[in-house]
Amino acid sequence: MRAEVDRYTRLPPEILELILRRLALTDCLRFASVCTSWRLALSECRLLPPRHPPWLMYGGAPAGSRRSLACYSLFEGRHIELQLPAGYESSHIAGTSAGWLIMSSDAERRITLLNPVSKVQIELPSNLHPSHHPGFKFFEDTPVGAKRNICTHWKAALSSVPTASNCIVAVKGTDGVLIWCRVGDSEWRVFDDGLRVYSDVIFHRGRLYAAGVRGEVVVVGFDEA
Amino acid sequence: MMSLAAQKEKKIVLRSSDGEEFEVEVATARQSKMISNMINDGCVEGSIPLFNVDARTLAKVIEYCRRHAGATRILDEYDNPNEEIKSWDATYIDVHQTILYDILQAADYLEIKDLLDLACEQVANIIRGKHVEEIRNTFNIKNDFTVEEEKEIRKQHPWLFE
Repeated sequence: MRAEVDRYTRLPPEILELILRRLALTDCLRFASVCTSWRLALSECRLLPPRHPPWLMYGGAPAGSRRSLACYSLFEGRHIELQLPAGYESSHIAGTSAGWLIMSSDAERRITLLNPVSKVQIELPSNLHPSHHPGFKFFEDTPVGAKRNICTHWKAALSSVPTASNCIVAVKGTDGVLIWCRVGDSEWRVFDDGLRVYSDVIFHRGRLYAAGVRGEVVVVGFDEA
Repeated sequence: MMSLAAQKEKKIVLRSSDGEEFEVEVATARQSKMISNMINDGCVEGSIPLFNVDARTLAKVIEYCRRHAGATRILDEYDNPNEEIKSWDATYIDVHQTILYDILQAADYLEIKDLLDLACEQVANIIRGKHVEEIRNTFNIKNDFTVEEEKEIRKQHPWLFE
């Protein structure tokens, strides 16, 4: 007994989405390569499937191509090479969050969000202060061994997948200043609650947790803000 | 409001798209949100015609609803289905793809959420770890991409086809 030809391609999109949400990323991509209607289902799936075992990202392709990204799927035990779209040859990966890459272009001092799998790109506002660009070294001139009381690393975090409504991007610059914007905003805003200098920032369940340099922690729910 | 005992005795007749009638207990029928709403609205005089579900599928769906309505305690202390019902479900849904498709459609139409979840999970289980060509064969799906589209997909993610 065989299933009637192409019956499964006629499943309503809601059911295809229910199936997709149960699959890991690799299986989702194979699913989308089966036929046009299943491909459409993945592209229309608003929420990323929640059950993605993590991939380890370990850099560019062996050939040194700056347009590809080498990953290792811990779950499947295999190496995967993802092609990045054109235009990222001189960019570097400043971080990852919610399955997205935070790409920065050194020349343009701009931050872009890029989904390495769907290749969707989201531009963020361009009014970035140099200290909020990962290439900027705030303490470049500080002598070695000098007392540093600010955590100098650059860090960015997303509150959710950026395709969801109301996704917040928070960036902690090398000077400890925290800025944020909603995806789609035209400007970055400085997060100012009196502390002013932060050492770290993360999102957890939609809330922002920012650690001050003296160990204070600020929790912000942006819906109420 | 009827007492539980009275509900148990009361029967409802469901008629499949191909005209076969099934007499079921109210508690069984209520597993379907669509039918449950009809019962609440008092529009179940005579038999309920189900235009989208044939007799073979309806019999299979009723089997599920009867088991789930009859289970005295199907949740464990963490509100997860208990082991007994889980193993019953696993056997129940281990069917050929043709029947699985009919169950998906019927569970969606009749609004039986747990059954829809179970059937979707089964499809996901079948897909998991399979190559593209194996998935096409299993579900009998023709590759309908144009040569150019196929080329583009392979270029984007060559490792998918390894």
